[in-house]
Amino acid sequence: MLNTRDLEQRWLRYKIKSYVPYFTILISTVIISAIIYTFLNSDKKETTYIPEKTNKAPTKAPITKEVVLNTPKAPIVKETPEVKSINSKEPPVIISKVQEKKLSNVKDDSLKLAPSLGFMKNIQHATLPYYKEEPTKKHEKISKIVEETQEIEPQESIQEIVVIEKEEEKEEAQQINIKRRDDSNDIRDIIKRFKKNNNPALSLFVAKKYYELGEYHKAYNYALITNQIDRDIDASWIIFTKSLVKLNQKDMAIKTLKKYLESSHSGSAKILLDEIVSGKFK
Amino acid sequence: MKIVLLLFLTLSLYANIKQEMFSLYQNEKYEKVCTIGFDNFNKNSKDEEFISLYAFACLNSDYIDRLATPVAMLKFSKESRSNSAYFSVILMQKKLLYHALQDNYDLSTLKLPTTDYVLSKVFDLYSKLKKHEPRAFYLFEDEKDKKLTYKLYLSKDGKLNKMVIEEFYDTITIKRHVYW
Repeated sequence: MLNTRDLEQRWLRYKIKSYVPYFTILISTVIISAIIYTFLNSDKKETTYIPEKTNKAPTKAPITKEVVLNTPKAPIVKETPEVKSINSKEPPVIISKVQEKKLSNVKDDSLKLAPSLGFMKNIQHATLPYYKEEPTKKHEKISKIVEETQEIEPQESIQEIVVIEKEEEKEEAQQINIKRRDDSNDIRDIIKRFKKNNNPALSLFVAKKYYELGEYHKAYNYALITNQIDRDIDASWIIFTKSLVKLNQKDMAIKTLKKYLESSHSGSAKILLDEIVSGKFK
Repeated sequence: MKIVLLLFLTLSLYANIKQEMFSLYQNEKYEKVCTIGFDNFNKNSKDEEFISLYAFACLNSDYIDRLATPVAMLKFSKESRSNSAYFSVILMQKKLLYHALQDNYDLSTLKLPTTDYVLSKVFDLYSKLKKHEPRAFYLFEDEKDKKLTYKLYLSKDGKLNKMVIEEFYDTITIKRHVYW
């Protein structure tokens, strides 16, 4: 005959033992999370104010809630620029140049603080993947993009620019310039990423970088690509026309800016057009 | 196992927030970056890159008072300390200029560092004025570009007066900054 009591007790022990691993995992995770939590909040004492108390404020209705919290907000008006006459009954105070000069001597240039944006490079390197290849292969890929732009833009003058660019690329390849090679490595990585995700921000960055390096043909090409992906990026049109001016295509630059201004009424584009027409920007 | 997975998920979520903020920043969506940063600040209060990104986004979207926390928190690296000083100057200049406009406080005796930010430029131009009677508005010419002018005035809006800086280029309004 079976001893049911003994059997039941053995079953109970077996059942309890089966739960042991779950309990250990649970307890260990609780301990680990407690340690992490205390570690993260270890220097809370140092900071007097942390915005968590108010962090539910701004997402849905930022303006009204900020007023309550006394966190000022200053919206940038993104309306189309209007011509405003600055008239008022009271005479405006315009500082005379003599007074300005006298006082500006007092203020030292060394007192000017500038932002440090190096951390952005770190973020970029940390968040976006790298695709390292041999430099020769990368060079071929750059020229492929150049060829693509040739197909996109049927105008003869642009084709000429691209042909000149290829010749110049060969010349540049022969030169040894350490600083420039570092920059071009960065650019190549970004071009790689751009080819993967077609993000206009990346092509715009490449265009800007090439413009800074004085490689206006490439800057032109990448600005053109950016414009084709997204026609509403102001900065891209500006780099595009600036590159055209640098490539001695002033008339074309003016024409392009005028056309762009018809659709966008961009303030900065208007300023650039003014500067190009007046010869201030060369 | 589920808990471990959850932990990994949360960690990757934190990383994604910074990445998302960075790509938004690159696309010049500063106000959105500032708002996201504000909402997730406590979770990332140890990350100086996050704090710096948040602060620059808030600066570019004219949320100057939000710089107060980054000013206090950025201290561990040389770059952070430099940015902290940069933000604190702008914050101080905003407060002083507002005080001067509201209460006719004399700024001409002060000698402060400056920055390339529009508020600093206007602050410098205003502080060059000697003690004077309050005006309805001030027009300043940019020192480098004659066509660029700044209009500074107080906008009386309900209980609180707001400080407005308008940037003009050849009588065309380029930008309007409102602070209070």
